[in-house]
Amino acid sequence: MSPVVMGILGTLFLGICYGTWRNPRLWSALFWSFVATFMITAAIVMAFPADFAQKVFALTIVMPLVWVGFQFWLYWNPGRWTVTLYLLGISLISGLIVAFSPSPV
Amino acid sequence: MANRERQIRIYDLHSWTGVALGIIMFFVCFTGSLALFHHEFEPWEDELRRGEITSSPVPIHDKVGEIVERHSGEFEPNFVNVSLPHGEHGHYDVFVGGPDADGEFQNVEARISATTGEELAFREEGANRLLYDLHRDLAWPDALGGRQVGRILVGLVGIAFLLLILTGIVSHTKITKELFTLRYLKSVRLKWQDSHKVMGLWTSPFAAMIALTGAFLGVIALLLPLLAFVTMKGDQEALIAELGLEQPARAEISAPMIPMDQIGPRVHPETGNPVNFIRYTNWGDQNAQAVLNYKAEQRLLYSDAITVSAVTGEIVPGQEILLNNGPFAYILATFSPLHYGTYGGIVLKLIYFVLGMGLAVMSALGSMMWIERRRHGGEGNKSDRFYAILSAINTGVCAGLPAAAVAVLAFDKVYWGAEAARYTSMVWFLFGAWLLAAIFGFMRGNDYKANRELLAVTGFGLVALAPLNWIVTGDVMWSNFSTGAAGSAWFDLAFILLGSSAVFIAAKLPAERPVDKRRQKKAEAALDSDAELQPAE
Repeated sequence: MSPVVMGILGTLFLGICYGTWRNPRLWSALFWSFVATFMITAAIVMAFPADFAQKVFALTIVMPLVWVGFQFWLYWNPGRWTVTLYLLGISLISGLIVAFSPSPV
Repeated sequence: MANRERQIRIYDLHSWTGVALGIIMFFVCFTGSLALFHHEFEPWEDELRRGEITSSPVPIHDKVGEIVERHSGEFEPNFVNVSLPHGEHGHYDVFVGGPDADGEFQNVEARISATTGEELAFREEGANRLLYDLHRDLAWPDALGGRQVGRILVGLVGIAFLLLILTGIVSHTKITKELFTLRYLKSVRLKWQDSHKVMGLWTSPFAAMIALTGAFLGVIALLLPLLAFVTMKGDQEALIAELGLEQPARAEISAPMIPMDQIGPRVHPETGNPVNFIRYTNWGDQNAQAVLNYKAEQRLLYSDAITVSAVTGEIVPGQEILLNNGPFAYILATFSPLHYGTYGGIVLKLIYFVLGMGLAVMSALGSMMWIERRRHGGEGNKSDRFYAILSAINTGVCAGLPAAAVAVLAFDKVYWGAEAARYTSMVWFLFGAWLLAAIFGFMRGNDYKANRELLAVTGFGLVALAPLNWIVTGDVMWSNFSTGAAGSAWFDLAFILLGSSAVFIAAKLPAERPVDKRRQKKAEAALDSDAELQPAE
């Protein structure tokens, strides 16, 4: 990856982090809910003991619903930071599962 | 208290998501309603598609071989698709494509007469295709990342739509009452609010289905590369292979193809529907396969398909991966027909059209309500001018899109430029016409008048499409209902009916913001009591 692209992505990430600090619900709905959805999907694909293709087909159907579910949860829960922290936790744990799981195929 | 706060949060999420994405939602729902008739509209758009379907079409195989041969020096013609004469297709459509020396995909298209076997003049895709593309991928330009980016963006609109439906339902605490409440004779705000709620609640199952299938069809373009990145170290082809979706590789051994006029079952063994489309992979190779597609109009499938070896003619079982790979894969296979309503004939498509237009109107109503509440309902903390500008933009953009869509259909009919530039010309014309309509709406100074005038223009334009078709092609509507041009004649009739309805509705719409009688009475009463309190001079 070129330094220019890395610089742009880094700036974007810092911007998202700053936005999350100022308004955790909004930025979690916009960004962290997707990260958590994708990471949990990837973790299940990597670690759940089932046929690879079946897992991908099933998760592809469920993924939009999980994503919307996370966004809804952010505004349902009274805590300003609660769900954001859960989402970051889910992303982190899922990321660890993805990193330490053997290749599914 | 906590529930009240939660209710407010959910309502805020609903209204802010709606107002932020109202115009794009309107755009996707409106173009989606038109995209439903993409195939049926082809005979109206292109007069060469009209005509009786011959009962004994000439063999096509040698002609296709000739086209492949002609272009084999330019690229490796791996893929050959042939649309056989059926329904609105009175001739053969041939598509030949494959990678060139640099690995770039190249293709050529040709149209062959089913009665003489001669090549006919080829008409490039025009307004019909553009309106379809706008719904599917916003016709996103290559310079900004290409169609995949557009598809993802439409998918994200689907996600936002799902969120809107969920928050909309949850924020309605009295659903059973609101399902049947329409206060048309009260204030403007109540009229719009009740219409929005009634339309939203009654169409919510349809809307949820459209949003979920639409989100999937778009977001899959984002999900697959990301999943490949995580599970296959970025190798998307490996992921596709693992899912059983890859094409068989070439054996690099030349082999003669079985004539496509004879290959495979000509009618589907279960449904009895004739084959209408054949798709070849690895043309001319030992591993060539032909997928024969049959209409599956009354089933929840895009088409029935049978795969055969193009060399031996033997049926290759289990090739339709989404149909033969468990319940989840089958559910995925139903998403596209569910989204485009292809499983219940023209009546179902008409129902989809009405519901789809309802969703578009509901999106526009939501934005109008949001502005109305702030401008006239005391909820806004910005100036009246600010909300007036927002209202004018919303009116111009939403009411301008149907007018621009009608204008581009007319422009396509009279287009005189080079065929290669037809599609690009349609893109520029549509967005130019839309911009002009939006500027008109913005400059009109009265949103009510702008709305009814743009609707009237749309209506008159729709009515004018039928005589325009007659003048340009010579096909008079009333003499064509029992001929091969019936598909075009039905669209002429539909345009006249829809256009007349639009003009009628425009005539009935108010030219000014109706006076809120209750509020006026209150204000008058307050003035009277103020006057009574004034000391007599």
